[in-house]
Amino acid sequence: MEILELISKINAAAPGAYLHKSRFGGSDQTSVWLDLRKIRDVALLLCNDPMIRLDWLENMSVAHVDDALVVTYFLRSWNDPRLNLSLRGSIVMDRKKEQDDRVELPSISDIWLTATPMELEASELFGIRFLGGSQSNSGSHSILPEGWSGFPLRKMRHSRGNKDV
Amino acid sequence: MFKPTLECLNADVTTWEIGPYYSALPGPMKLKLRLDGEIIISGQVETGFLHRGLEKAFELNSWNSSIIYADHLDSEGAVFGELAVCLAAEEIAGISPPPRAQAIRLILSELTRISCHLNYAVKIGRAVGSETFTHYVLRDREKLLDLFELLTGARFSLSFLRFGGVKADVTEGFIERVIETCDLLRVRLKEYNDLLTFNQVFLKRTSGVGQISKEQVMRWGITGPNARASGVSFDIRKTHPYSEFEKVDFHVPVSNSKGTHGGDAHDRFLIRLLEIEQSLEMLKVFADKIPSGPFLETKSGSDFKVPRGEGWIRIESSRGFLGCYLMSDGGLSPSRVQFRTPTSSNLLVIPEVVVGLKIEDLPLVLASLDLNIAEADR
Repeated sequence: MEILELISKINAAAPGAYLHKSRFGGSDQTSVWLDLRKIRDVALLLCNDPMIRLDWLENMSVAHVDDALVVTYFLRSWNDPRLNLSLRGSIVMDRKKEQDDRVELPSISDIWLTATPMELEASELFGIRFLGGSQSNSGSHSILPEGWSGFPLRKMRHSRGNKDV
Repeated sequence: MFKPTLECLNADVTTWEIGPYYSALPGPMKLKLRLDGEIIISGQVETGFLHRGLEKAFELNSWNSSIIYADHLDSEGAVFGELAVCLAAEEIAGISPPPRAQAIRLILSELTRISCHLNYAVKIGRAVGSETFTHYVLRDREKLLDLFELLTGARFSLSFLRFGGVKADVTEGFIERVIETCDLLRVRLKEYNDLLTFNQVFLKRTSGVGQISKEQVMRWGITGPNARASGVSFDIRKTHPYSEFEKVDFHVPVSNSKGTHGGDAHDRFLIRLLEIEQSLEMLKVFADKIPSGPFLETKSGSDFKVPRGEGWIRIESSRGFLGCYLMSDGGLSPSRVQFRTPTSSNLLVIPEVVVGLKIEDLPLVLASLDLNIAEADR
């Protein structure tokens, strides 16, 4: 499926979700930038539409850039493993709020099951609360030591763990 | 849905918590099992006990140090982590390693794949109590560790790759030793098959045990030999070739066993032996044709920087799909490094694969999944 056709399908399924498209880094892979508040509608379309079938979330990465967390979903099709796409979006963090405040993002772990551990990591290390997620919202730690406060992979902060980083 | 079998005792359901540190487990992890007699009726996995802040460590150190940290992603297959980080940085910086360096990387990758698969065979041998087989395989794996030492000076944690190439040229006699070892291992593979693969006792222990269906492979994103043992033909070396794999003629072994035994522990063992055979073929051909020329584009000092940008690289490690997302802000350290590791997916299938197992088969099934907790927890 051509990228423009895909974008028109995204616009139909989740009006207002599509922002723009770009190349991913120096690669030939296409990135589609989205309003992440509508990620679930887009995910349902990409995973279930028989003409698209991007049914494998091969990775989800998060990076702290300036005042935002940039989330990238790397998708692939099991039917045709050469077919891949990345969905991207950013969550702007409120400067006035505390560094330790969590930000929110809809969970897609019920659509792409491979997202479960990725959301769990992003929850603990970046402080993203995945709304509707199965296990990442309990507040207890499974990666960081018990009692750890803060999110170590956010930039420009001093952790309150064992030592400042 | 669990269906009781004749093996079920008419006993109360019991709950077992195993771990995080226990010899039958592949690393620090916790298994929460519910048992009816000796049959497992449900299982949950808890990991995170080996989290070392590896991805944060990349951000706090120089670019050159990142190769050393990448080694520690998976201590058994150190070169795969190094390769993923190097390829990602090279993609951002637009560096093309010279052909000789690509060839050395490919040789090192395939030697590491063989070494990891032999280590897997050792784990399986231990799980079924086959001491003789275990000793024979360990003896042969030493030959591969000798080759690593001859090339890099280290047996583990090689730290041999560099941005734009490799640290040093091949040492005198290395290629001859690679060919010699390949010839030897080809003979040994036949011995392994005689000793274990088609041994009736081993077949009884492993056939139909810990089966993973094609649907489960796709649902949980399982890759590598575990996926190919379930009949899913997916190998990054074919779909997204890197380090000149596109120039190498090789076959990806995929299990075609179906029905009651498809995707079981025996298939996972067998597929790795077949992969060793393919890697040996590749090495034999490639070692003979190693191109001449430089082994490193430019030497990178402690002030080495990668220009602002980001890259996403996929490689085929011995366990499957290893991805590396790398971001640079143009500074002296990576801005973000994130790995997607095959063990993370393999762990997801455990709650499904243990249901209906006898407790005695649990160590075998865990060993057959080739889990590396270090790479999952990072």
